[in-house]
Amino acid sequence: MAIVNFWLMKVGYAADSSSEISGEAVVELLRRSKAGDLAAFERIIALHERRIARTAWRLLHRPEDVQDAAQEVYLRLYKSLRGFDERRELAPWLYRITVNVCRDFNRRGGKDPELSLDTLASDGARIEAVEPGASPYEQVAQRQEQLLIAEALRELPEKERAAIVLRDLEGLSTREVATILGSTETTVRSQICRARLKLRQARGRLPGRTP
Amino acid sequence: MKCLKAQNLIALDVEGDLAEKQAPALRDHLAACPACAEFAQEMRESQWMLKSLGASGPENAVLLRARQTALEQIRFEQDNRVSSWSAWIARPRWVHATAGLTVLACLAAGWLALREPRGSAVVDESPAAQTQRAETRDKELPGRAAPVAAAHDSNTTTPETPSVPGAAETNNPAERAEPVRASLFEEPAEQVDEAPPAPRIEVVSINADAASAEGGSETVLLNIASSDPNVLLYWVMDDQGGS
Repeated sequence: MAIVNFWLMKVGYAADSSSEISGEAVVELLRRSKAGDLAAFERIIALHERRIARTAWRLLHRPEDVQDAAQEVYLRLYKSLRGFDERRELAPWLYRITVNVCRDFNRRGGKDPELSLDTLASDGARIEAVEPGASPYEQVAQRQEQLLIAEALRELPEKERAAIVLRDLEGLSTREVATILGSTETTVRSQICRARLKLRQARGRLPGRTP
Repeated sequence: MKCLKAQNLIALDVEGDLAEKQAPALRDHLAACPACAEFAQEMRESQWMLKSLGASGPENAVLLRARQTALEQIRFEQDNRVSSWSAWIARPRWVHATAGLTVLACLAAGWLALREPRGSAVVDESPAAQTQRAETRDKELPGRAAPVAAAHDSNTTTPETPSVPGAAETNNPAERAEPVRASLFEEPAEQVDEAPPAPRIEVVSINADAASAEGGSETVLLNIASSDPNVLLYWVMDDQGGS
């Protein structure tokens, strides 16, 4: 358990830079962006790009599309910014755009390609070593376990995957996830329950594990 | 509680999504069921492993490229939108004035064309003028001279040479074709005939004694004639203004 806790400390979410800026400053940036100030808009992107890319990375069938998807999210955001009430929180809206963009990309892109460690590591992807002090054998085993979980995540149905990515990987509440996905809390709870059971089952495929 | 239901609740409880009222029952079940307790431990480890994926993702270079490309595209669209208008505004004033006058002239010409009544040309309808027009046409189109002359001179339709298309049918194609051409050629003259001058109406005679001699009320008989031979109007009225 101590090892696991160390992993979580090591790989814990890097705080988004949005936490470094006050709400009033964000509102001001939004106002300026709506007026056509591209510098302000770039600042808004910089505040949220990490979470957009991270979410897209997990939702896309082809992780190499993440740059195009993020770009599409920024363009859609800019085009619809005029209708956005800057007093509202931007993040849920951005998540919603991201989910929609990824869904569009997945529909266009066809089936998921075969996932491998190379795929995960390609195109700028980075996988943190979950236990740096572990022996090479243990590190390989952990990587393998990560790969299995990542594969199982990609095999989940679209809605279950979106729900568990937003709830467990992005740390949003069930209510927020329901709002973003345009669903009910009960439905989201059911989706994440099924998804977690499937992920646990996938981890059981490893040698020496009980399915 | 059955193990299957407990496992569903464990999947929710692992991230605190379990309703408070269900938590005590699950705790009791876990305390009594080692298999489910092990299941719960595996579920927690699975969640930890899942969260370790959360830190993975594209490198900063990918984020930067996406940001720069999007901003370039937005900038390009903005510049194009602005440049098209600014280029127009930056033109010399005489260009604007000329464009404005051209538009106004086109509008005025269109308005005048719509206002002018059709078929208002004055045509001399005297027989001499009609004959002169026919001769002029015959000179301009020598090949059409014979049928046109025939159609014009007779001015009465014969069964062999009908002047109106479809008025009579013949089996000979040549005979059928010629009258059609002639009638087409005659069409403008026929159109002129359809617009005769307005008839003049005048009082021809007034007979005031016809009715008073019979002892009735005084009656005036007016004979009103029109220049059109097909129209003859009579208007009878008494001294009270009744008719």
